[in-house]
Amino acid sequence: MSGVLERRYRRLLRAYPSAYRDEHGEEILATLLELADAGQRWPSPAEALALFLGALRTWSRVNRQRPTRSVWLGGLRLAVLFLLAQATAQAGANTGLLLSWVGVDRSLSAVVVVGFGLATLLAAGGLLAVAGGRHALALVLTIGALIAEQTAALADLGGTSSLFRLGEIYFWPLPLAVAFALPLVRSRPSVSRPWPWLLTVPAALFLLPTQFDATLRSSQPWAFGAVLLACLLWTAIDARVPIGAAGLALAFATFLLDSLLTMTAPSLFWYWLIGTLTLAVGLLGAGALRGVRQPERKNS
Amino acid sequence: MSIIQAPMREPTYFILAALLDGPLHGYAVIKHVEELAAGRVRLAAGTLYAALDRLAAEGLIQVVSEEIVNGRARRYYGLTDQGQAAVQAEAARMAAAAVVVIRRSARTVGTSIVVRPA
Repeated sequence: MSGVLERRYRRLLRAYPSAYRDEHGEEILATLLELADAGQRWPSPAEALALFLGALRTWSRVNRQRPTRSVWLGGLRLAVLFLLAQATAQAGANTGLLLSWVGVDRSLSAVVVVGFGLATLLAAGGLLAVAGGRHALALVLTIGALIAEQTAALADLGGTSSLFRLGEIYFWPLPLAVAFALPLVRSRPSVSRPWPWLLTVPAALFLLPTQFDATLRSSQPWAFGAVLLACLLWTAIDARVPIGAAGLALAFATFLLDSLLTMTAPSLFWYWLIGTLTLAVGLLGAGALRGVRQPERKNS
Repeated sequence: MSIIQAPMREPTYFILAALLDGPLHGYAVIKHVEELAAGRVRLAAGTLYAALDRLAAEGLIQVVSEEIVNGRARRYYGLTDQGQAAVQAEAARMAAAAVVVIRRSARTVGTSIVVRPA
């Protein structure tokens, strides 16, 4: 009987990082089994929730004392990662669409296709470089992606392609990523395993606003709003996440403002702009408050 | 000496209070806390170990011994001098805050209440 419960608790404990599990797993398991009622077969919901939250806290290392400056730099790093995921998704989707037009649209210039393809590769390289803690290299690759993308966009202006008629949504993530990456170059790099970050690219394609029809027409900006709200809730675990998400919100708000000021954008864009700016301020405020409210010590 | 700036959260307070009587292992801490708080605070294991990690990182508690029971590690956690000072400071802060209300309430009803030290 207790073998079943033990197996189920072990499964829940897998949520913790393996190094933490090696150190504390058996100890926590022993306590959980001691707390269990006779004949209990399933983990109690309260214990399961506490283990889940404990695992999240351990992963985000909030238990470690983190100076406020480090919270802000970590938030900036996340903002760069999110924006590069969005830029890679955007440029990748554009490249895919353009490739499908090769041979069909005779006005399509090779510079446009190659430019977006190169921007995709450079932005993905920047994403991996930031994740791996190589911030200077990331900055160079991101600037390269920006140049490649803008060259492609400018080359397309004379064409008949309708790909770029929906404003400049693809423009903003890369310049903002460059701006946010600048302070990181001289900071002590945070390093995580780079390759899992590539999974954020397909996720960004569907969850973040891009020019790709599937995300812009029906599910946006609601999917994006849900992502920002989730990041706001994540403040309880890690103050860097809402700061990073505020970078994404800023990119979208800049696009909306640009559309409203430079072209005939739907009046709905005003509501989206107000909503996005409100969320951006909320995210920054929550991150800032959480950043300074993490336990601090003083010597007296 | 180091002190905690913010008021202590209730589970933290009771965990430190439970360790005033001497080092305890995880299960014993949970049971002792439940007893001290008259059943009002019931710590889940995940919550307890997150708190123990944090308190150890802050230097308020430490692992004082370790043994193997039924093939599993059992660690005993004890208060550091700093942890003892912190929980006593928090108790004094709460007592001072309580006295403010108790004295006024006593004045209102025209009775006197003697607050005895614990």
